[in-house]
Amino acid sequence: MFLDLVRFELSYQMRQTLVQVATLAFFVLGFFLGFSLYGGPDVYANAPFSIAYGMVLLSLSSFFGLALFTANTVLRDRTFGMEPLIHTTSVGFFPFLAGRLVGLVTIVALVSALAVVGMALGSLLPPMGGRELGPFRPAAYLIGYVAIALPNILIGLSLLFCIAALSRGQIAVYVGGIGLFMAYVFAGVMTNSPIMAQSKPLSADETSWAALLDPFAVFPLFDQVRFWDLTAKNTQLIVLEGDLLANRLLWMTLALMLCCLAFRFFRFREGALAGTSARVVTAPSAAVKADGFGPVAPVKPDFGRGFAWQALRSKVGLEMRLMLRGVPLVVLSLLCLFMFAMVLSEEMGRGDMGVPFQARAALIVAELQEPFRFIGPLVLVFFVCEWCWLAREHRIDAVIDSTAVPAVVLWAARWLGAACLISYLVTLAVVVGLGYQLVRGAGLGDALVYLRLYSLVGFPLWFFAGWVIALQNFVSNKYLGMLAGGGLLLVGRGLRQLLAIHNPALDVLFFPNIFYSEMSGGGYALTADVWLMALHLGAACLVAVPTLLYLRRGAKRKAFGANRAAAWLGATGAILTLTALLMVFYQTQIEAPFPGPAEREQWAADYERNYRHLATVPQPAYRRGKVTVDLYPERRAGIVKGEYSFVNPGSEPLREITLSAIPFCGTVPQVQVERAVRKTYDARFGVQTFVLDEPLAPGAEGFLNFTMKLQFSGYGPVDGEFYILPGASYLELSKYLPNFGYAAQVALGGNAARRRQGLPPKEAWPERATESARPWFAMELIASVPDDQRVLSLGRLAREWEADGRRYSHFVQDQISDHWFALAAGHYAHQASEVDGVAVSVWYHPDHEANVATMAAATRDALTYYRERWGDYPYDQLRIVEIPGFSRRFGATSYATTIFAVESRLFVLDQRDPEQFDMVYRTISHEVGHQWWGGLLDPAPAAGARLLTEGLCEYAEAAVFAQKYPWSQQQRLLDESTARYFYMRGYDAKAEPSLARMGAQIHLAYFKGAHAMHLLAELLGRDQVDQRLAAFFAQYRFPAQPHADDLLAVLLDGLEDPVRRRLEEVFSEVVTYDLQLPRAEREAGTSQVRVSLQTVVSRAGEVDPLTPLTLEWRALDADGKPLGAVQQAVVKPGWEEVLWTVPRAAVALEIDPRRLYLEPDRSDNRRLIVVP
Amino acid sequence: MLSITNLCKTYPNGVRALDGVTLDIGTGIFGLLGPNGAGKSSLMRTIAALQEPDQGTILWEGADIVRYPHLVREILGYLPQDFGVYPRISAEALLDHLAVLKGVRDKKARRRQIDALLERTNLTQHRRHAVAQFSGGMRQRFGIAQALLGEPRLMIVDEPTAGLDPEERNRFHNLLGEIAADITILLSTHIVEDVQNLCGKAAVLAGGRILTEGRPDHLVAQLKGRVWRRTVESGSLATWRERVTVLSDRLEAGRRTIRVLADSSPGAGFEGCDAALEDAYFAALQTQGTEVGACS
Repeated sequence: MFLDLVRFELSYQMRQTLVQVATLAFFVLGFFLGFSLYGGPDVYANAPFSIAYGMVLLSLSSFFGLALFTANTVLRDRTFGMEPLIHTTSVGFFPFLAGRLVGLVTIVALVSALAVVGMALGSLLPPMGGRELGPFRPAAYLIGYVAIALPNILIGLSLLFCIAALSRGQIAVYVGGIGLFMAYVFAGVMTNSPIMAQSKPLSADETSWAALLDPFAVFPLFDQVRFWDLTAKNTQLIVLEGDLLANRLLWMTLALMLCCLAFRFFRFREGALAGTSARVVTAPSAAVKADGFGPVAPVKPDFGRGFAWQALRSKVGLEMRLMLRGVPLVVLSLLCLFMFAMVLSEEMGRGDMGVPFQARAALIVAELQEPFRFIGPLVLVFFVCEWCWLAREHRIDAVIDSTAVPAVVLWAARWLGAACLISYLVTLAVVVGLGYQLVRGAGLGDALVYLRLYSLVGFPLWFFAGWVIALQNFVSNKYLGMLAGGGLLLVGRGLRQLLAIHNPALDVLFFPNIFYSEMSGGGYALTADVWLMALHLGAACLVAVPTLLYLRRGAKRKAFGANRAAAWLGATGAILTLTALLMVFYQTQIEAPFPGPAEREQWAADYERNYRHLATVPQPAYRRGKVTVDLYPERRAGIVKGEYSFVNPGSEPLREITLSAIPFCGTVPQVQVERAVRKTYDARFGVQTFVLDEPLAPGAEGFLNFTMKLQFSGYGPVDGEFYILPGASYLELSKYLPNFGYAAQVALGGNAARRRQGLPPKEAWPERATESARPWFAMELIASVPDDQRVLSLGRLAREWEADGRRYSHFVQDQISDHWFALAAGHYAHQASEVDGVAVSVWYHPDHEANVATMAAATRDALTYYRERWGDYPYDQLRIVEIPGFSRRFGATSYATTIFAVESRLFVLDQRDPEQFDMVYRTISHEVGHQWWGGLLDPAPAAGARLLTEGLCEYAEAAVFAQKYPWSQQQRLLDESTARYFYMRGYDAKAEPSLARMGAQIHLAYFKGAHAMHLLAELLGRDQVDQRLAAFFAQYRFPAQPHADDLLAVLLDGLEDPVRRRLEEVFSEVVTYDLQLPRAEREAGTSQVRVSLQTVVSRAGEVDPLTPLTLEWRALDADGKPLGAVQQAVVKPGWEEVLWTVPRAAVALEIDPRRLYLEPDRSDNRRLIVVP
Repeated sequence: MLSITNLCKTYPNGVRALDGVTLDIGTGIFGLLGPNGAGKSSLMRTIAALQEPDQGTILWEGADIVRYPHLVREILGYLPQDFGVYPRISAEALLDHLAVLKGVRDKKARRRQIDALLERTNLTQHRRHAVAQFSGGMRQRFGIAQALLGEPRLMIVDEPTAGLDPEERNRFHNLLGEIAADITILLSTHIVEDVQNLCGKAAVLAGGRILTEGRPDHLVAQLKGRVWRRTVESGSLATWRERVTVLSDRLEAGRRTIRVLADSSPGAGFEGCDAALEDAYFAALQTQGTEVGACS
């Protein structure tokens, strides 16, 4: 009988339109996923790792379909009224349920396997984004399917099956489906999954747990490839072993248990669980009263003005009551509350280095928006579809449809119902946000910021609901409608990608950037978001028109005659859409044109092709500049005027000069060069060449002036380095002003983009740069803003005055090592102090005072240390200026005399807990270091330059930090830096250069740099390092152009091996280690411990089996505290057993406690001593 | 006056549900008789603007309600043959909601009418119970109550007494009789007796066509002297069907009796009898060649 049941189930399912359409949909989904596979920069699009990650996405996408399949399979008897017939047959519940389950699993496995076939076919197409395609390897798809996709699908299926079998409620199954997505978000946040924003490296113990606890195996997958280099990522197959295998076994066991649960409690009776059967109300005939009542008086209906509104209220009210009384909504609410709380707790409570953010609504709303991206559309598709089918499923549609209620009411009730649900969910998020603020002891004075959630999350979801309702009206099957709703999102996005339309605002569901800056008092896009939302509202209204005209009413589709509501909606939609389109067009193409990503890429490629040769053409250098900037924040506009003098720094006369100015919003600065004629003018690239009347002799001076208009629209991605906003502005102005020669910074960086554009890989930085004379640049800046704001820039504030309702500030800076300046404007408070004649000031938003004292202290300590150790600070002031969180791509940036520090990265960190890592102190110390390294000492533009800037600032910050904080704090930072280095080097497309030859690689400059500087300090001692750095600084400060080799020459001068060797190794080679202490066993009755050591030394990717290393170790007591001094032992690479003498109280051993070796995994460096 | 002309409806699966239906229905109760699948519900759903005809017109007091369906919705009280209710909503709340949808906007008037209807349908004591938990009969009474909400001038009641016990059925008939004086009621049923008792006019529908229509007594009168009966052996029924026009056969006191339509006595053993509406119904079906089952 069981086999018959399975056969029937398969045959039934195969004939279902839902299954047929879903099969096709999943095949298409797989195809799109295959086409857009991505495993990281420079990883083959179809690399085994990319495919495995694609399988994760496939399984996540499948949960939506799983909910539909499961509901259709388990609940169809109830839906179609077959329960009394089926449940009264002789079939036992076990074969019945098992038959359904086996059928369901088989169908789902087949459908998902077809999706994998689609993925394989999709991945044969030329991949998106110019990524490279590796060889086609069927095994990679098979392993991905078996190890990732299928187990994930079975886990989801078992949960939904269990819910369906026990609750017999469709909504409960949908909530289960939503719960699966929440589980994904939850697992991602809890395990700090690398695919989540702000993921942070975990400790070794945390990693083990995370690898097990992630139900969808994202973490163990990433963990398996964590230390793979690019070649391994491109070639090695994912292996079902270790943590990944343990994870799969654990979760498959749980899935099996869920199925057992379903079998244990499922019964053939009303309500699967005892006590849930519906109570039937009956009235015996005896209770029927005899006639005798008067006739029922008719009440004349009134269909006049207000009827539609009253009917709408009644309908929405009734449907809301239905929704609110359902258990699934309670469950959904609890799930949402839990998820919101968890997301806030994790994301707000653990920033960089685990430092929490202050509980401010401005930050909280951005975190709360994220879960809505995942669950919002899903909840809407499920619930809105249920509403659309509510009357039909309860067979009351004929009664309602035959009433005089206008069609627009039936349609609007659904849309308003969606609005109520969305508002409810957003309110839950707001409640959690407010609660979080209260728990963290923050006030609720900024509660109004939560309105952004309603507008920037609520409205987009509501507009999307309009599409879902429309789909439901035209699809004849509820489940197909749901599938279509989900498909609308995926196919829309897939098509946009296929057609290379990069603007996400054109997605059916578009969430504007919700990030809110307290400094600017708003978001980034401002009116741009309003117009984009108007566009989406207009589209939703237009979609509503055919919905209304062909609203399903009974079996009737066509609405005859004039439909005023449809006409009104159509007109409103058309006006909104057209107006929004016109406004968007005007603002992005005429008022402030900005290119899309594809145009930007094309522009940069063409610029490089046309003007790369300018890089070697001798050009003048700026000597002096007077810049006038008038900002009009309310209009997001500005005017910049400049008068510059320039000199010929070379040894040959210059006949022609070329100026490049990156066109900003379609405008190119109007440049006039004195005693010169413009020879060429390329408006597209902002390049103009002038022929001088008289050749500019070496050392001679020339003059030019320019005018430039700024107009920001808010469209497109946030440019954190250049924006004007009503409340605050930040402009890295010098980048956009006319500069001589070739603007190398705009060249395409990514290999994929360069391949796409047919450009060769970006040239590595030259080993040595040509020496050229460089003058100091002297700057004057006169800036004006409305008188409630002020401008802050580099140098001395020579004068400040007000006129015509505007505040003017005049800054003077006599010596900058480059034409490199920025300015900020906003509402500022400030704290001032003095450090040995240098005026130190911190300028901050009046509400961001919490960390100002720490910043001032860090500035004071750093300034004192650096001046004492390396050389004098030539300026009379040093200011720290807060800039809005839109610049959060960096934490702070340092210019001569001025450090611009980002609101959300430093000013709103919660540093009240003294046990927390002091991120503010550390970052400011680093940035003050740049006054020396990168400021007063400006390296030659050659390989290794960043060692002299970021590398030395890593040393600088550590030196200041070590004066105030214990080793444990430094150790945390070192461990995190090391983890990031090893993670990021896995995506290096080229062989990793040494620190002395590095280019722009962040992981080398900051993270390996931190280790190298730590090693330097540990081996030489800070005093000696400081002395050498002082010598280096004195010799190579501006205008000299030192190279990394110059630094190493000074640092290594006179050093002997093995110290010299170790330092050469870390600075000039690529060497990594893997140290393991797998066994430590005390010799009976002695103080000696027999230790097994495993050491692997990798030099430029090759294992070095010969070179011995000096390994430090120490004994630890029961509390993990060191016992005695650090010991040394010389060990050979490979396996070795040694005898070490330890104190009696020692219970554990640790190797390399000072972190002198760069290794990815330190979890095996400690071992408990086994006592036989 | 409801005027239906040449109404045709074919479903996507090819079933021709209505085939040139033409009827004029005035005030009072109009009975619609027909076997299962005759097209009664299709006709009613079409009049109730729940589906569109492929062809033909439906005029209500001269207005085309196919083209302007809101005209019929404003005056309609509709009780479908098979209907459900929302879960977890009380009878009172659901009636209130439906009353609003039917344009009963004054709260007090709405309350009064709902109270009266609940009394009339004997549901007052269950007004706060969820309708979804009502027994079949109670739910049918609820359906009747909702159909009477507002001021319906055209009532379409599709098999309204299905599921009602005899006492409730009588009460419903009385209720219909009371309100039928001023409004048009289209009553669909396959219970001939109901039509006989209630309807001033009736039509027999089969295969989507109107086979006959008129006042019940006129329909019966057309058969006067043409209906014969006799007792037969059960095994010989097929033979008799071949020989004469058998209108119906039934067991009476354990013996099978057939009723036959013939202008003169069909033979020995037959005796003339009074024609009934049921004979007219079966006679109409016979003319269509529709298979007629045994009538209990």
